[in-house]
Amino acid sequence: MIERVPIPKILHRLRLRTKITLGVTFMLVFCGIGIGLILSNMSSSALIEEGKKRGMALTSGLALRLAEPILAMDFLQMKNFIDNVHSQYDDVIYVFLTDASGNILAHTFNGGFPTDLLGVNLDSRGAQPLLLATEERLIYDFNARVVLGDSNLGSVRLGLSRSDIDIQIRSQRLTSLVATLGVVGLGVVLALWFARTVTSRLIRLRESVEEIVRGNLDAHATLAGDKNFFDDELQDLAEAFDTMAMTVKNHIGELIEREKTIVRQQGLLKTIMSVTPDFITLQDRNLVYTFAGKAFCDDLDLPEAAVVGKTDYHIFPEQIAAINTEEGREILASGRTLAKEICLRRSDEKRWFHVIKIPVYDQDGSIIGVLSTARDISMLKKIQEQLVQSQKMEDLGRLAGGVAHEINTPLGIILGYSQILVEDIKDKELLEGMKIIEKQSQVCRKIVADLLGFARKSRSVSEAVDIVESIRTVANLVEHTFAMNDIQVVIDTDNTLPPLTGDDEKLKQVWLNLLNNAADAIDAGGIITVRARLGAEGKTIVVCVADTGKGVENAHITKVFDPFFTTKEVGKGTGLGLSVSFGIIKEHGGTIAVFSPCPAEYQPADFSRLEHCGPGTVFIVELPVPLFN
Amino acid sequence: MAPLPRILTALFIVCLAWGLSSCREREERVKVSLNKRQDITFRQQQPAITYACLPQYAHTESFQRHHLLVEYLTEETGLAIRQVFPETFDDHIKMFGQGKIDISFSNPFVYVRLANRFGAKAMARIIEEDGRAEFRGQIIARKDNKAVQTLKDCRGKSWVAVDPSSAGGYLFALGHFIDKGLNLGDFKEVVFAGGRQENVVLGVYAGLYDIGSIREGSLAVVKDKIDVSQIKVIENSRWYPGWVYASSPRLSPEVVEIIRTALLRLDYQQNPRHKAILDAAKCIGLVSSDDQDFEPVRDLSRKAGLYLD
Repeated sequence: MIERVPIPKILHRLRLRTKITLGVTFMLVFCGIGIGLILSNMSSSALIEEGKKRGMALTSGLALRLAEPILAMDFLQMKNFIDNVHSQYDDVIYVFLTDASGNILAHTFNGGFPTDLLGVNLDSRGAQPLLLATEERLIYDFNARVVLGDSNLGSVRLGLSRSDIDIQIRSQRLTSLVATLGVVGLGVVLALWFARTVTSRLIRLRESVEEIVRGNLDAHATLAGDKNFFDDELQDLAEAFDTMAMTVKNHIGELIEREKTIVRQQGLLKTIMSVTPDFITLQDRNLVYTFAGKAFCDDLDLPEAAVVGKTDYHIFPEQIAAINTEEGREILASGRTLAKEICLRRSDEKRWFHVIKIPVYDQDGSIIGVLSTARDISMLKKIQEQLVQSQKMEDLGRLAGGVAHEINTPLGIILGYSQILVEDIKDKELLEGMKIIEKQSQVCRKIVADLLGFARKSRSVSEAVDIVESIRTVANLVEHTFAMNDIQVVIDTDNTLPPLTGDDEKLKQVWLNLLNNAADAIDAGGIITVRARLGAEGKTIVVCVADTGKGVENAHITKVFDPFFTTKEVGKGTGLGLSVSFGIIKEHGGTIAVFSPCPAEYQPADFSRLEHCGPGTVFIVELPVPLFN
Repeated sequence: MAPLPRILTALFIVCLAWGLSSCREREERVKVSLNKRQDITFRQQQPAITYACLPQYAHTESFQRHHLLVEYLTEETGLAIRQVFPETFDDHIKMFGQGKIDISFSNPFVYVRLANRFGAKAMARIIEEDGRAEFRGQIIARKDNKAVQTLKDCRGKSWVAVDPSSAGGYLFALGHFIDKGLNLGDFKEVVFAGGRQENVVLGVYAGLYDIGSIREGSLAVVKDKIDVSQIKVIENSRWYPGWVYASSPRLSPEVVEIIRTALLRLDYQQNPRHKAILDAAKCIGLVSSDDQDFEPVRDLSRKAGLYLD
């Protein structure tokens, strides 16, 4: 089992550059010592072997050359040969020659021959050389036989200094040691340079990463020169960092753009939600409001914060909240869309809303909420009612016209006969009765005539009409009568108004009806103001008839143009005047509207000082001006 | 210990152990004193009959050719016989005269001089490898030497010969030149190669000399040293009696007879040991010979004006 000995903490704290340098130095020293030791030993062995071979070569060479002198017993030549070798090489300590009988024929010793040599290394067939330990040094003793064919002529003995070889070995080892130390030193310097190169690039990588972390995505881990100089994993890593930073930068840029777009769209959506008159809300699966449009909040008179996070029970009466909650659950469960029209009554006001509730789906297709929109369709409802009313009036007019037409003939006969009989009847009492018949017949005839006028689509005369003149004519007509009831008619017209195209008589009937209606609204004393102005952009002429009368109740104001609707006493009005006027104005392409109480802008200047006045009513007639007037 | 340091330490120890183990083993030393000195004198050799071959070749060649024969004679005769090696032809003659050579193996010219001057007596002649108890000289030149095609072309050329006393290597060629009308004065120079046949061949081969004279068979001796095909033989001399064993008059006739008998007993055909002895001596046998056999040589000497006494 391997026991892991923890590496000292000081090694952990070393810088990477130091670690690399130490590691490489250790490896260099390790390898240097190992290789140096091995090579030194190999070299030593080689030197020794070389020395042995050299000694053997010298000895063998001598043996070859000494054959002839031995045969010739030429001692001088023998001596010369061995002396030449002895003097030529410093490490050759001695040479001597023996014949086959062991007699010494020649030697290089001075002062006698060392007899010990004759007792060692006698057999040349033994391992050569023999290492001799003399008093002064170690000597390799070589023995080579002088042979000629199969004949042994003698032996050559040569002593080679082993000490000289050892000196060479020591010198070589010293050189090897110095060379090893030099290489190791150079290796350490290179290791420092290498570690510095690697760590500097790692430091640059770290700094680049720190810059990226700080948000500076323009930081570069690689330099331009690196790409040409390095092509390794660190370069790949640095380029990967740069690519990552550039990608992140681009990605962040895209996210920022998207965020801006989202913010812009949110602002736009919020603006749309704020300005849209529709009531828009969004509820989650728990039917808690997560969004509420401004119109919705304004209508409830609540801030958005008071709605978001609440349920229907928090913001609606319990009955309405129960209905909404039930509908919401139904939509969440079924996914069906709900569309309905509801009518809400607040104090004296009745408002219609068109409500649509649709499920909101998540990306995985599940329903995550309910979107509700409610649009105020009160105006639409009113117009629909007006349309129904118009249709009803048209039908009624057609019916009344038919009936009046049928009644008119016998009524004319009754009136004719009653007038004839009035002339013929002498009985005073009877005559009074007949006159009553005649008078009532005439009343009936007028009613019938109005009915016919209401119902008949008489052909209109298309001519240029001076509105101011038309109004003044009618005003002059009724001015005297009104004055008797202390009613003042004020004409305020723009004399530069352009002429209209229409039926002057029918328009006069309208002005007359409006003036009569105003006068009826004033019990005793008051002012009727008739104002004629050019409308917006000069495309219309606006005629306003305002009175200081008792005004129209809210409940009646939508019915004033209905046929036969009247608040007057029985016998004082037929309820057809405003209906007829409505028809004539509509026939001329214009509109007629009534406002009560009368807005201040239409009131006379001293309206507030008048007694028994108000709140007043104003009828506003708007007639189109021909384009090419 | 952590694995990495442990592995590194183990590696270091292994390398160190290996490095140390590669150190040379401690060699065995023998203690020897160089201070114990003693004057050495050469022990006198035992008296013996000396045997010398005329030094036409190097001593080693002579030794290798004759030491088996010397051993044979020692065994056969029971006499102590030792080979000696004179340096030159003159040295050989001088040593014979001084009694340092008892048995001389020499060419016929040297023999005649030994006989005339010191009373040498011929015992036996060798039979050459070609089966003849005679031999002859050869005049050689480089094959690519166009200037030397015939014997007459040798006039005015430089001539290297073995020795003034060399039979095959000089005198036979000289006699041949004289017979063909060329005298010593007709040559540019005559140089002697110190008694060595090989030096003559090598001198011609090296281009130092135009022609050379050798005894027949010498080219085979140097065939391992040079390309002998580059050497051409211009002409051969006539045949003369071959190399001869002669005895010193100091030897008793009985001893001479014993030696001669032993020599003539050598049987190249039947005795393998004898064959080996004769092969080393470059001959195939010996025949009995006496002084009369060498009259042609004496004639040649007179013709060449040589002084043989």
